[in-house]
Amino acid sequence: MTFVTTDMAYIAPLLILTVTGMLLVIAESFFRGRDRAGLMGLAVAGSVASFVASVVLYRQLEPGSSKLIFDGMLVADRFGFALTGLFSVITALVAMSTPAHQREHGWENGEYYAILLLSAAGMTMLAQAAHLVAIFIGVETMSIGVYVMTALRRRSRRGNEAALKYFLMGAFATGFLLYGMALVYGAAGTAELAQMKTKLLATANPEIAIAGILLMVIAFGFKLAAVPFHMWAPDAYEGAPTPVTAFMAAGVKAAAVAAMIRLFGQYLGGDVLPFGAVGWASPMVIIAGLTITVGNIAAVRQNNVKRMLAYSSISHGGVMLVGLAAMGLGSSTGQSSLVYYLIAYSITTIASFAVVSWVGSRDRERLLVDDWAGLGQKHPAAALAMTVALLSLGGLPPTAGFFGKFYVFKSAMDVADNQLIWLVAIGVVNSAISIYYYLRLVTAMYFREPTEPFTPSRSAPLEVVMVLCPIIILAMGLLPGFWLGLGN
Amino acid sequence: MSGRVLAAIAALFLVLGLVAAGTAAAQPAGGDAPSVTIQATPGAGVSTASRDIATGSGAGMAILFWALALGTVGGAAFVLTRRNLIAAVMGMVGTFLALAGLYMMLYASFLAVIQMLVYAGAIMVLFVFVIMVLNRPEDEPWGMVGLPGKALAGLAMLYLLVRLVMLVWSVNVPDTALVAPAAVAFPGDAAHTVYEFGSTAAVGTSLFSDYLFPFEAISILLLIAVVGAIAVARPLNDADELPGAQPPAPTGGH
Repeated sequence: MTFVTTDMAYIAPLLILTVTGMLLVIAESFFRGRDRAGLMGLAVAGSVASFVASVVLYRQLEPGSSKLIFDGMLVADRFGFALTGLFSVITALVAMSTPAHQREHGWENGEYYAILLLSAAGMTMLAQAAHLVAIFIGVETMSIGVYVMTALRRRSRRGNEAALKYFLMGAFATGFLLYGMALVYGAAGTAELAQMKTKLLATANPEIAIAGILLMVIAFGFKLAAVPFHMWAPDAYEGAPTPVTAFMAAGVKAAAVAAMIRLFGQYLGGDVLPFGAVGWASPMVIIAGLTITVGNIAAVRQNNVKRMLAYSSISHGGVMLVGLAAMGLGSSTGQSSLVYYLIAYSITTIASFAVVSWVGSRDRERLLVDDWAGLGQKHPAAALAMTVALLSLGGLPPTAGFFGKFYVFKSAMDVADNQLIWLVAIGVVNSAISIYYYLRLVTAMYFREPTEPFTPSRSAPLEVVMVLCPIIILAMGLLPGFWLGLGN
Repeated sequence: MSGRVLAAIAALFLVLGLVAAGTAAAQPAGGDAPSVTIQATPGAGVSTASRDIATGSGAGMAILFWALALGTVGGAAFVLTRRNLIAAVMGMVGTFLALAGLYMMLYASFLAVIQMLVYAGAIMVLFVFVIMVLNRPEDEPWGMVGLPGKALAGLAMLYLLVRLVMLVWSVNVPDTALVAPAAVAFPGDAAHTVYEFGSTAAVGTSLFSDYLFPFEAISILLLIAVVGAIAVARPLNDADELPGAQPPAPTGGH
C-alpha cells in the first residue's frame, strides 16, 4: 500500500526511455530543417542508456528470483530485464536506420524519434507487467506510437492506407483485450497475475473466465498478426516506412509475445491449467499451426520483398506461439528458448529491413525481387548482410535462426505425452518450405545480372546496423549457450 | 424557440439548485466544515431528518430522487424534441447534472463531481464547439422519413422500453440494501468520517497507492497520443519536408 522508493530503480529502463522521449519532443523545436542527425543521436543515446540500465539490473538480480514492485503492478526479474534490454537495442537499431529513409522518402518528422522512444517505453512496461492494467497500458502506449509512425509518411497513399488499416484493426484488438480483461477480472476477482491462477481455479464462473481468456488470446493474436487475425499485417508492413516496418515486425511482435509469456506462460500455465487445455492452450495451439502454415504459403507467392518479409514474420509469429504453448504446458525450457528466439528473430528482422531500406532510394524503392538481381556483384557487402539475415530467417545453421527454431521445437517436444509433436512436424515442414522463398531472393542477388544500376541510400548509421546485426546473428548461432541462458 | 431555451435553462437551474441542496445535505461528512458525524444505522440521538439523509430513505429523499429522475428523463426528452442543436445540447447538460445528483444520492460523490466536470463540463464544451464549427442550419434533416420508418423506429423504441421496464421491475431490492455504505474513519484523522466505497477519499487512496503506477503510466500514453495526433494531423508544410515519392524532385546533394 505504500510507495517504495527503490521500486523506481527497477523501472529505470522505462524511465530513461520516457524521459529521453520527452526530451526529444522538446529538442525537436531546436533541430529544424534537415539537421535531424542530432535527434537520432539523442534517441540512440537514450536507448543505449536504457540498455545499460537493463544489463545492470539484470546482473543485480539472482537467476530465477522475481520481485513484485508497485503493489504488484510490475515485476522485476531477469526475464523482464533481458527483454527490456532487447527492446532498447531494437529501438537504437531502428533509430539508426531511420535518417537515410527519411531523407530519401521525404518524411522528415522530428516527432518520429520521440514517438519511437515513448512507444519503446510501452514495450518495457509490457516486459515487466504483472497486472492486467499494466499490460493494457503497455499495449496501448506501444500500439498508438506505432500507428502514428506508420502514418508519418503522409504523402504516400499506401502509407495512409496502411496506417488506417493498422489503426482500425488495432482498435478492434483493444476492444477484445479490454473486454477479455474485464471478464477475467470479473471471474477471478483480481487483476494481479500472481494471484490469478489460484483465483481462477476457484472461481464460481468458469464460463466467464474462459470467454475472457479467449478474448485476450484473440487480442494478442491481432498484435502478433497470428492467423486468422493477420489480415492487416501485409498491407501495414508494406505501406509503413521501412524502419517503422522493422520496428513493427521486431519490436511489437516481441513485446506482444513478452506479455503473452507473462500472462499465459508464467502465470496461467504450468502443470495445472485453469479449466484444462480449453482455457487457452488448445486455441493457441490451433492458431500456431495455422499461423505457421498460412504465413508460409502466402509468402511463397510474394514478389514484393517487404510483403514477403511480412508473411514470413507472420509465420515466425506462429513459431513463437508454439514455444508459448510448450511453455504453458509445462516445458521447463520453454521460456529460455522463447527469449532466444525473440532475440534472434528481432535482430534478423531488423537486419533484413535495414538492407531493404538501404537498397531503395528516392526514385526507386526496389521492393520487387527482380529489382534485387545482381546485388551480389555490385554491392557484395550488402548482399552478404541480406544473405545472413535470410538464412537466419529460414533457419539454416550456423545462424541464430536455426538455433532459435531448434530450441523452440525442442521445448515443444519436451511437453508431456507428446502433445505438441504434430505441431513440431508442421513447423519443420514449413521451415523447409520457407527456404524456397528466402533462397529465391538470394539467388536473385547472386546468380542474376543486374538490370539497372543500384542507387543505394548511403548513410553511416544505417550501414553500422547492416554490419552489426549479421555479426550478432552469427555470434548467436556460433555461441548459443550465453544467449540461451538469458531468459532464465 | 428562445422562450423554450429560457425555460430549459430555468429548469436546469432548478435542477442545479436541487442538486446543490441535496449534495450539501447528503454529504455532511465529506465537507471540511466540522459537521456532525452521522451513523449509518438509525441510532439514538440522531434526528429523523438526518437519519433519512444518511440512509437515503424517507420522504425528503424520495422527493429529491423523483425530482432528479424527472430532470434526467426530462433533459433526455428535451434533447429528442429539439431541432436546434444547441438547445438539445443544453438539455443534455440538464440530464448530466441530474444524473450527478443521483450519483450523489448513492454516495458516489467522486463520480458525481467527475460527472459534472467531465460530462457536463468538458464533453459538453466539445459538443458545442463541434456544432459551432460545423455550423449546421437549425433544421437538421430527419432520417427515415415516411410512415414505415417511423413505425419501425417506434416499435424498436417500444420494445426497448418494455424490456427495460421489465428488467427494472424484476430487480427486487431488499430494504437492507438501501442503507449507506459502512462508515470508516478517515486515515489519520479520527474527527472525520467518510463513506467508504465511491468516496473521493477512497478513490484517491486507491489511485495513489495501489494504482499509482498505472495512474502515472497513463501520462506516457496521453503524451504519445498528443504528440502523435499533432504529428499526423498538422498541415503538410513544403518548407519542412521534401516532396514525397510522387514528384521525384531531387533537391540538394546527399
